[in-house]
Formats: sequence, C-alpha cells, structure tokens
Amino acid sequence: MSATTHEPTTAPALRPKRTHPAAIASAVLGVAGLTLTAGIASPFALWKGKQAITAIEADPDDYEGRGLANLGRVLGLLGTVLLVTWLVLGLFTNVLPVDIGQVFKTALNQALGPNAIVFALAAIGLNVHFGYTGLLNFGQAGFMAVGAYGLAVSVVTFDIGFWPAVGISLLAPVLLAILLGVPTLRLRADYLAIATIATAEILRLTFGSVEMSDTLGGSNGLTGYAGTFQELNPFESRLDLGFVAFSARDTWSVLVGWSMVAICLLIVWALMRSPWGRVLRSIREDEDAVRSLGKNVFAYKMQALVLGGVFGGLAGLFLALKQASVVPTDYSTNVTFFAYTALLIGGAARVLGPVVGAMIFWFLISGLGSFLGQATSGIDPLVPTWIMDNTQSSLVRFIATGLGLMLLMIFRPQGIFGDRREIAIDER
Amino acid sequence: MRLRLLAWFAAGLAFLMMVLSPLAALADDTTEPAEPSSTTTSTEEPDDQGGDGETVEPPDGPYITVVLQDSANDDAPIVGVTLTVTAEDGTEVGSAVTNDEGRVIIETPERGAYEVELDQDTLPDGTELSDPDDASITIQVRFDGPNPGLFPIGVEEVVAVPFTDRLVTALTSGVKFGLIVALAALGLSLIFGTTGLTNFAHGELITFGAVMTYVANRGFGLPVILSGVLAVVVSALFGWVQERGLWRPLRRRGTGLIAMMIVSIGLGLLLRNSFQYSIGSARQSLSQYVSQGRRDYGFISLADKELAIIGIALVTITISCVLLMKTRLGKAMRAVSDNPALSASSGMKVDSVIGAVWILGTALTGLAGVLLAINSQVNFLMGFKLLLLVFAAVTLGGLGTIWGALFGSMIIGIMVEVGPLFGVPSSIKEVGALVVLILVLLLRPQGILGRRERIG
Amino acid sequence: MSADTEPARPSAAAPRPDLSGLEPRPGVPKPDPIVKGDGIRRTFGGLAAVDVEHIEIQRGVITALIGPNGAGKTTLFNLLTGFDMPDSGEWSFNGTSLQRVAPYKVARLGMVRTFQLTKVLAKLTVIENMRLGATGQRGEKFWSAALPFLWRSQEESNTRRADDLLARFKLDAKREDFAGSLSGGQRKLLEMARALMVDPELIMLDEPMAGVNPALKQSLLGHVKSLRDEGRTVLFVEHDMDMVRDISDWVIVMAQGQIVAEGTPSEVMSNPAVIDAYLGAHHDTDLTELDEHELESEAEAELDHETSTASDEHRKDAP
Repeated sequence: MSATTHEPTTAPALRPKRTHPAAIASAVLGVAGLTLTAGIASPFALWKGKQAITAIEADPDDYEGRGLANLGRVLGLLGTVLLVTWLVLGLFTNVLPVDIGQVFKTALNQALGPNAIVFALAAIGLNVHFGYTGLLNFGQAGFMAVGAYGLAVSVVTFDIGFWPAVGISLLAPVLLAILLGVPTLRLRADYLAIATIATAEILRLTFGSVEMSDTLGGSNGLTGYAGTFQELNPFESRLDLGFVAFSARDTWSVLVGWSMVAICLLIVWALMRSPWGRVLRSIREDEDAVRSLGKNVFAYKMQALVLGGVFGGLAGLFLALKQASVVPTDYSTNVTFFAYTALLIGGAARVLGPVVGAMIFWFLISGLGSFLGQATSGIDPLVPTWIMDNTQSSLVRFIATGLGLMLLMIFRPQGIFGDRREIAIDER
Repeated sequence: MRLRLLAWFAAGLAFLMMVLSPLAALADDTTEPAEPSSTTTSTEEPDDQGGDGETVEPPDGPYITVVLQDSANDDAPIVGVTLTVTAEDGTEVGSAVTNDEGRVIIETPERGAYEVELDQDTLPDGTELSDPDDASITIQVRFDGPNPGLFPIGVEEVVAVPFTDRLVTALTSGVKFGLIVALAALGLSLIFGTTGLTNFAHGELITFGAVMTYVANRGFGLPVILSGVLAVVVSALFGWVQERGLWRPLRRRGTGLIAMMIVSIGLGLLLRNSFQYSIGSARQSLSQYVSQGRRDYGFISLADKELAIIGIALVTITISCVLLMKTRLGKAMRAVSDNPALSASSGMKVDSVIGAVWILGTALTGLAGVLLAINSQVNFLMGFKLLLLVFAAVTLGGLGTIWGALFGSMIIGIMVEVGPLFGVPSSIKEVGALVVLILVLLLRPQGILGRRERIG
Repeated sequence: MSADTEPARPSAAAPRPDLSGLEPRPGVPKPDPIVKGDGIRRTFGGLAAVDVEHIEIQRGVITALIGPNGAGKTTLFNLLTGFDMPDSGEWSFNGTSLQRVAPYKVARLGMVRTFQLTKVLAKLTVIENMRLGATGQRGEKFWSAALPFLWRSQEESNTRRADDLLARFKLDAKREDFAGSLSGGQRKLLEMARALMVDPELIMLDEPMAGVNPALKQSLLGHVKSLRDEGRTVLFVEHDMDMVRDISDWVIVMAQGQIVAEGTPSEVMSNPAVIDAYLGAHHDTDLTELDEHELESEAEAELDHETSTASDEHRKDAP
C-alpha cells in the first residue's frame, strides 16, 4: 500500500503485443456515447479511435487492437451524427420535445451555482487529504455533516446565536479530525478508508435517528437557523446574465460561496508551495523515507487531516446556509464518492483541480439529467418508455458517473488536464 | 491482450442494463405495491411513487404526500382524515382528506419546510396516533414531485415479554443475520486475501444475487428456490467476468491498489444505479415464502424459511472451509494470499487461482443476497447498506483470514440484533457495530484473530 | 590498519582512533563508542531474527556489518533506528537511551539511515528531495508555512548546501529531474546525499552498493570514505567483500541473528569461525554475484512485506 519505489526493470526481450489503451477507451466511449451519455461521449470516441489507429500503425509490433479502435470509431461516428442531429434539431427547430438551449443553461447554472460550490469545497479538502498527503479519507461527508450540524444544532437546539454557531461549525471538523486521526493515522491506508467511511455513516445515522430527533431533528433535519445569513443578503432582485440566472437568494449564496472557495484555494496554494507542503507530498510518496529524515510524519498527517477536514466542514456549512435546512440524507457516502469524482476529473494534487472538476462534474451531471429528463417526459417522449421512463432517466447520470469514475481512474488518473508524469496517485 | 475484455465488460454492463429494464418492467406488473411502513417516520426509503392506481392525479410541481395506514390493523388504509399543510411563516397552504388508499396529496407553492397537521377528531373510532400529543410533522419539501410524510398510527401492543425470551429471539435472529453476513464476508476476505483489493463494490455483489433471484422469480416466473440456485450461478459467472474483464487487466497494467479501490467505487456506483434503473427504488417481494408463521421449537420459534436460511448458510460455509483447507485448489488459494510472488515462482498459476477465488467469492456473496431476498425483500440498496457491516466483520476478525471473517461476522450479526436490548437505539442498531469497528482499529488493528506481523 | 592509504583529514576532526590493538572477539568494548547495545532480541513467529548480546560501534570510523542472508543485519538496522520494536534489549546513542524512541527522533539525534531498497520520493525533483532532508526548517511549521518571508532565507541557504552536495555526488545535472527517473545507482547516491542534509553524526547505509553499476562503485567508495574524513561515523551493511576490505576500519559479522565475530578486515577474513559461518568455500568470490538469485527473492519478500506493513518493517528471514 505504501508507495514503494521499484527498481527500474530492464525491458524484457520478448514482449507480448498489447492492446493500445486508446483503442479500448475509444470502444468504451463509443458504447457509452450511444447508450448512457446521449452522444456527448461520441466525439471523444472518434478522437481516441484515431489516436489509437495512429499509434498502432506507428508501432505495429507492440500494439494491437485495431478492430476495437475501428469499432470505437464507427460507434463514435454514429453517436456524433446523432449528437449533431439532436443539437441542430433542438437548437433551431421545434421538432424535438427537447430544448437544447435550456439544457445548456441548466448545466451552466449548476456548474456555477451553489451545488458546484459545495462539491468544490469538499473536493479541496479531499485534495489536501488524498491529492497531497495520500490519506484515503472516505468520510468527507462526515466532516461536512459536523460542519452543517454544528451550525444548525447550535442555533436551533441550543440557541446560542448565529456567529458563535459559525465558530462551532468550524471547530467541529477539527475535533472530528483529531478523534479520527489519533487511532487511524498510524495504520495502513485502507484502514483509514474503512474507519472514515464508517465514521461518516455513524454520524449520518445518529443525526437521523428517531431517538435523538429532539436535539438533532431526526430524518426531517433542522431548519430556521439561517435567518442572519439571509438578512445580510444585499441583492433584492434576480440576477440574469443571459447564460446564467440566479434568484436573489442564490446570487447571495453564490457570491459568498465562490469567495469561500477563493480563500481556500489561496490557503492551499500558499501552503503547498512551502516546505510544509513539500513534507506532505513526500509523505504521499514514502512515509518511511520522511521519517528517516527526522520529520514527525504523524503530526504532519494530522495537520493535513485537520486542514482538509475544515474545508469539508466549510462545504457542509455552506450547504446548510444556502439550503436553509440540514437533512441527514444530504451527507450520505455518495456525496464523498462524488467529491472524489470531481477531484479526479480536475486532477488531484493541483490547486485548481477540485474546483475545475466540481464545475465540470455538475455541468455534465445536470446537463445530462436535464436532457434525458426532457427526452423522457411528455405524452410522446423522444425516448420510448420501454427503454427509459422519466424516473429511470434521473439515474442514468449516476450510472454514467460510476462508469466515468472507473474510466478516469484507469485511463487518466492525472485528471482531464493533468500531466501524466506528475500524477499524485499511486498508479503502479 | 486481455485488456480488450475491459471494453467488452463495460459494453456488456450497459447492455445488461438495457436488457434488464424491460424484464423488470414485466416484473413490475406482477409486484405488489410497496408497503410504506407507518410505524416509523423514516423517509429514507423513497416510497414507490409510481402509479399504483392513484385516484388523485399528482401535480407537476412540488407536493406533499402522506399515506395513513393503521399498523395496529394490518396496515389498513385510514380513510377520511383531514390533514392541513402550513408554511413556515404560518400561512395555510391547503388541506385535504385521505382517499380510499389513505393517501392525500397537497400541492405546495415552492420548496421549503412545511408543517403537516393531522386533525385527530377526524380519525375513525378505534384508531389513534401512537403519540396523541404529536399530531403534526414537519416535512422538507425538497423536490419537484412527491415529498412523503408519515404519521405513526396505531398503538403497538406492548406485551411484557420476559427479558430472556427477548434475548433468545434476538440471539436467534443475530445468528441468522451473522451467517448471512459471514457468507459475504468470506467472499470479501477471499478476494482481499488473494488480490489485496479493498472492494467497495462488494455490497453490490450481494444485491446482484438478490436482484437475479428477483428477475428469475418475477420476470421469468421460476420458483424461488430454482431462482436462487440460478442467481448463485449467475453471480459466480459475474465474478469471473469481472475478474477477466476488469481486475486482471488492471493487475497486468500494474495499477496500484488505491487506484483499484477507487475503480471499485466507480463500479459500485454504476451497479447500484443500474439495479435501481432495472427494479426501481421500492422494496420488492418474491412470489413465495413472503410471510411465514413461526413454529415453536421449545426455546425458540422460527419460520421454516429462517430455518432453511440458517441451514443453507451453515452447510455452505462448512463446505467452503473444507474446500479451502483440504483441496489442492484451497491450498493454492491460501498460498497465493500468503505470498503471491513466491507462489508464482514456485510454478503456481496465480491468475487461475485468483480467477477461482473470484468465482467462489462472488458465488458466496451472491448466495448471501439470495438468502437476504428470501428472508425479507429485494432492494437496490440492500447490499450497499450491508457493505460496512461486512467490512466491520472482516476487520474485526482480521483482514484476509478466513476464520477471522466468520468469527467477526457472528459477532457483528449478534451485536446488531442484540444491541437494542441493551440500550442501542433500534433505529440505528447498525451504529453499534460500526463503533466496534472503530474501536477494534484503535485497539487491535490486526483484528482479533489476525497476526501482528501483517499490519503496521 | 592502513595509515598509508589514508587521505588527508580536515584538521577539525579528531585523529582516527586506532582499532588494530583491540581483541577481535564479539562484543568487544571500543575506546569511544557512539552506539552501545545490550541484549537486543527480536523474534518473528518464534524465530530469533536478532539476538545480540552486546554491541558497540566506534565513533569516527567506518564499521561494516556483514553476514549471510537472513543473519539479521537489516533487522538490527531497523531496531537501532526505531523502525522496528525489539522484544527486549536496550541501546543508546551518545549516551541517550533509544528505547521506544520514534524513528524521526532518532534521526534528529544525529543517527540517520538509508534503506536497502532505495526510498527516493519519485514524484519530487532531485533538488526537492534534497531540501526535504534539511532539519529545523521554519517553513515546515504549519503556521509559518503560508508566510514565505519567514522561511525564504533559510530555504535559500538549504538550497545552497543541497547544491554543494549534489555537485559532490555528481548529481547536479539531474537537479530538476524527477527522482523517479534516476537509475538505481543514482538513487543510492541521492539517498545518501539526502541523508547528509540532516548532517548526521552517524550515518547508517543499508547495502549502498547493491544494484550500483561498477563505474559508479568507485566514486561511491570515495564518498563513503570522505564521510569518515569529515569526522562522521559510518555503519554499513554490505555483501560486496571488496568494498568491505577496501574501506572499513572494523568489521562485525552476524549469523543467525547473533554477532559471531568482530575485528579488522584482515582479522575477520582469516577468522576460521567466519569462514565457516559465512564465507565457506567461496572465500574470494564476489558474494553479490553468488547470491544474486537469493538476494532477489529476499528483496521480493521484503517488498511484499512492506506492502503489508507500514512501520513494522523487517526483513523476512529465509528459512
């Protein structure tokens, strides 16, 4: 599990041909384009297919997979034609029951809106944990939950006022990080993963329990703590910039949220270029080497866990503020997994990675959701109901997320824009 | 070369989903409507919002829906009760009277928190709220479409059962639950032991077994037992396809264990949502053995199916352990899990051993799903909910050891079921097990039966 | 041993102690020991990997630790530096007891080790690897890290020192390369140079020659000697008998976890007990070549072990 450095092995004399990765990517994208992503993946399938063919022709002794690449290209071509047809028909005519302009607007709104901010903050935290330090925190939802409930419970149940409650909400993730870190940071990476995911679930179940609903609100959660935040809202009318539009309330949330993101990014940027950040990155590579040089690895891991946890708590705090309610189901393990997806899209161990990733993630998720939602609704839906009904259409994006996470991790662990040499993840 | 299978695997999954959905649609016609339990206020399980013959047309925007059923009277719908919805600021949004199904639908102007009040005077005679002082609930309207609310109605008859009897009952169901967990834990432990993969998609392998049983039973109309056998076979096949199409190519590429762990998270997401795509979010019942009366066996009373579940699990676990201890293949598996490099250099075909482990592991895990489906119901989340308990069981006993997995599972199973008798809130009885997981990591990370050298 | 081959020492260092008069027996007391250990014992599943009654390492000289595979040399290294916990025993460094002292504290005291399988930080550049080695960095404190003006000057002086060391180890051309792109021998050099950034009193090298190509070997030997000449103490594990003969002032021989012989290189080479226990019929053969296969499987076993343990590192002893 530790990042053991292998001695470089000499190339074996006889190497079996291997299928070029781009050929596989092309075929997978081709299939995905025609099934899950309504054509959006298809142009990429074409591109990858071409790349694969070029590479195979350049190196026919090493690579095979021409058939697969061709399959990807054919499927990609079909999907692209389909995509172009959708777009043309949707944008310029009323033949289709789908308003492509609306789809783009929804997607863009989500990419710049409050939801993307929540995931950006959570992913910035995970970037500190996983991207820079190599800590597998699968309980970011737990940090978010204590941040959110720290605020809500303090105001609603204990009635201590808004600003002190914000302080508690920032302190709660620090405590959680210390409680979690002391037992688990000395253990192997996958133990930390299991311990954090279990803690997040314990928190979610406890916050939602019937028995403690007097204090914690049960499954209905808590409301009525965000008044002060809304009173501070200087916007009175809806903001409409043409390509995006937010309600007055959302405009305020978005302004506060992106400012929070900017401050967090600044902190991460400043810390990660310092010797402190260098120690974290070294721990990710090989903690025994760092130990042998006289650094207290445990203390650094703890600092990283606390810092990333506080960013996670901020995500929860912001979610609680923009939504004006905290509900336990908002802090399920899936949230952590989606934040990981966002981080990996943007590229781990890059300052801007989590933010770019969160925006792309929400753009794709809500664009796909909106498109398929429209395509499956109405009396005579575009997609026949025996293939997909309206309820099912909302699931396709999560299926696509799962597939996307797998493909990203397999083919581009460095993220969409990353440089392969610099990938942070223990790829091999 | 095998890498090509990766593509086929993904493509196969996509098509599997496509094939499953009409099948499931077929099955939908034959299912009973899901029963929203009215004794709890849990809204975590989305109710079956599909059209089970609603007489009220649901509106387009957000709305609150409440179904009143009397849990004291076999969940009979309660008709003619007035419910009033009030917004946060005190303005009344609307009120309605429950229909023949006990359902009301009240449209809300926008999302937010609403108070739903039940007029107790309109309750039929002989029916009353579990807590007459608590006639209103707050509902978070967070979606366009239905936002369910539940009222606890019907006083549970509290009969003073002696503590020892309750303990025996809890222990019995703990043993049953523990054995089911043990099957899944054995599967996880085998796979972890030989490949080092912490498989976050393992819960979905449980669900896979259950869903396959459901599809064979409801979709093709096969008897439950035959469906179960088929599901185990299909699970084994699924394991083999996964290993050949995904995990083996990744190992060949030299993909790290952490990267593989994240791949398994993606696979889990994909499968989980595919299951929901195919069978919907409601709990589905099989066609046979749904509700069985319990027979009295002196100390304990068990339904026939429970007895069968315990028997099947015990026999399977015993056979697996004998297989692992006595046969060549079993010894090979243990050798590979001890030291893959050494096994490879001593001429063992590590890849085929790992292939066999995947087949055995997923078959065992699928069987756990089948037994769970027969024991209660089928739901797309059932395996995912169990995943952490399986992890807890395996960690408790010591990662990668067979006896540890069995031992840990029994402890976890019994703890989950017996915990409520000793003060663990029953709505979160799993929490106790998870707390123990963390305590074990704190005090004895190698697990109770693990060797110290294995873990840092 | 050889006063005539000895290069000029910096005048600051004390004259190298002469060990030739010491009685060549296991656990013999040294005139000025930097490390002293008693009754150090570590067992793995009933097998005693290390069982050392008494050990002393002389200050200011090069001591070689040799022995057949599975003799417990690396395990002893791990125990002394805190990377492994013994079942029993006590040992001290400069009079400070090191029982139950964490590895990072051991390093801070001035006792720094390298690893048999090099641990360079592959995704960091060579110069960043070097900078990490410097101790007492203000910029490594959380609260001052975000304020560059607090640590910039210190960072610059560390970088100058790192550049000097890189030039000395002929790695300056690779300064901006990722450490992962270095060859095996260059990694060994980098690891040694990085350890020197800590400015240790005692540097412990675990098989510094393994995997290094012959052209580099000679300069590595020179580097090790120059460490002693700076006044540092060197303890190294090695299979390459040429190196042992060439540069060490004192040799400790281990077999089956115990120290079986000590002495100057020439004494040890002619000690029948050593020849029996270790050298056998292959007296003059290069042991690295002889045991290549064995070494490989040993390394594999260790690798495998490392993947399953974080800090409980030890060498799996071949039966």
